[in-house]
Amino acid sequence: MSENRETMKIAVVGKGGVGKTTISALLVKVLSKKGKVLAIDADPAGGLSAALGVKVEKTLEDVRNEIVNMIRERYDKVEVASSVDYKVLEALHEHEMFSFLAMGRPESEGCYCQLNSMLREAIEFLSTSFDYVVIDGEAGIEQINRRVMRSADVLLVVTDTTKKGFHVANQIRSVAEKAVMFRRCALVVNKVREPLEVVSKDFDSVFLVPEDEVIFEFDVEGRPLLDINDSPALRSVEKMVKTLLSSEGDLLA
Amino acid sequence: MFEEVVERIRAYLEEGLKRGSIHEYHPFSFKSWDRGRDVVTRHDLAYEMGRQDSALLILWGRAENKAYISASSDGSLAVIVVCDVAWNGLERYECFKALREAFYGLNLSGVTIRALPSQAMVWLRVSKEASAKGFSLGVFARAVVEAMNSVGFVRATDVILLTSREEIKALKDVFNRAKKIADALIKMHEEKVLNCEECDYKDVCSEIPELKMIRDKIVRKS
Repeated sequence: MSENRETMKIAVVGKGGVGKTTISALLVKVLSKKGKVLAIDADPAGGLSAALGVKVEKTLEDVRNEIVNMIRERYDKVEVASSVDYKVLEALHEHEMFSFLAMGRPESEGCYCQLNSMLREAIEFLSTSFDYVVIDGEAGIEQINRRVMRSADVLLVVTDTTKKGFHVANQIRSVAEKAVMFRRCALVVNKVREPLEVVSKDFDSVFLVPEDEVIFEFDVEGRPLLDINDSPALRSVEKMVKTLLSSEGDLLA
Repeated sequence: MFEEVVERIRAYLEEGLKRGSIHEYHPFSFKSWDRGRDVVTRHDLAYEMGRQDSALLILWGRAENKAYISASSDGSLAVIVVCDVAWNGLERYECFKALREAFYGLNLSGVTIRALPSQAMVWLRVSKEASAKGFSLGVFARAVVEAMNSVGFVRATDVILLTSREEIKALKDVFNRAKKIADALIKMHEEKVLNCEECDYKDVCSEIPELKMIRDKIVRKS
């Protein structure tokens, strides 16, 4: 990790279908030119792996299940803690441009609060080795908070241009206010077709990302978004990153 | 408890020393290394060892603060730690737990050490920075000796680092035997009621006198 730099954690949330995963993948692409990136797919649907061209071999849910089985046979705190650290590192997919962790779909029954905490701590500790962490989440941040990390520096709430989308974004924002620690919350309006003015006092900033034929083509062809060289959406995300990094720099200073 | 295992490892070491495939060192001749928890990722990775082709044994027996390291490496890693223990009434299981915690608690700056106890696997990742600053298996051996010797009842520690698949394969039976003994010890202390007739560890518990004694004591108590 670059010296004297704190890890910047960006959580991307929003209603299904608004393009969270696209925004996350483009963020990974842009940020990977600036430093070490850990991409975390926290959406059980698991779209970020495809958007980044990653073949997932092991998810954190697999790790959790392996440890749960181990606990069923024999519980030993030292062994469990050691195994969690080993298996989380094993689940890390290391790409040339970024590293990747898939949370997977929660399946196992029963409450293993201590194990969940150990897993979250292992992810949080792993993240300290990176300059940036991008978390592609579900609609709300509560699940990220419970399973991935206790806090984020930037919460990006993604919406499309529909009234319903804005309504859900505002709801997510107000729930997040009570549930999670974050320093900055921005609204990302995705798939914008025509000039649009968005004023919102609930968000620290608003970013517009245009609807993009290139993204559409890549999605149709199943090609990873990392391969996009230039497109309107990518340029918007580059601008967004520039703004976030300068404002985050101010916050960290 | 581990006498037979340690003797077989020592016999293997003697052969290796004669052949020149294993070298003996004084661990304190290597530099001391700062402690620190780091996850070494691909971008910073100089080299990694172990993981699939690995073994980890923490045993007690005769030891004199020595390090034994293979002359050549193919990325495999077996870490064998033998501690000379001052028993003074110390329970075997308490000793086992303390030694294990001392090893698992070892964190070195610029290095990631991971252990998977259930499969006796170990994984070492060394950063470019640590490698450039002189981190080596000798430095690792010294750090292990220091960590183990910091346990109150440990008088001395030998660390054996085997770094080829062939060596690990040659000692496979010994590793399996040691793991079975350790697993039997854990099982005896974690199961409230022992059903020895149907237990997978019946053989080692019947053969190893110390395990037999512990088992008899637990059975008498229950």
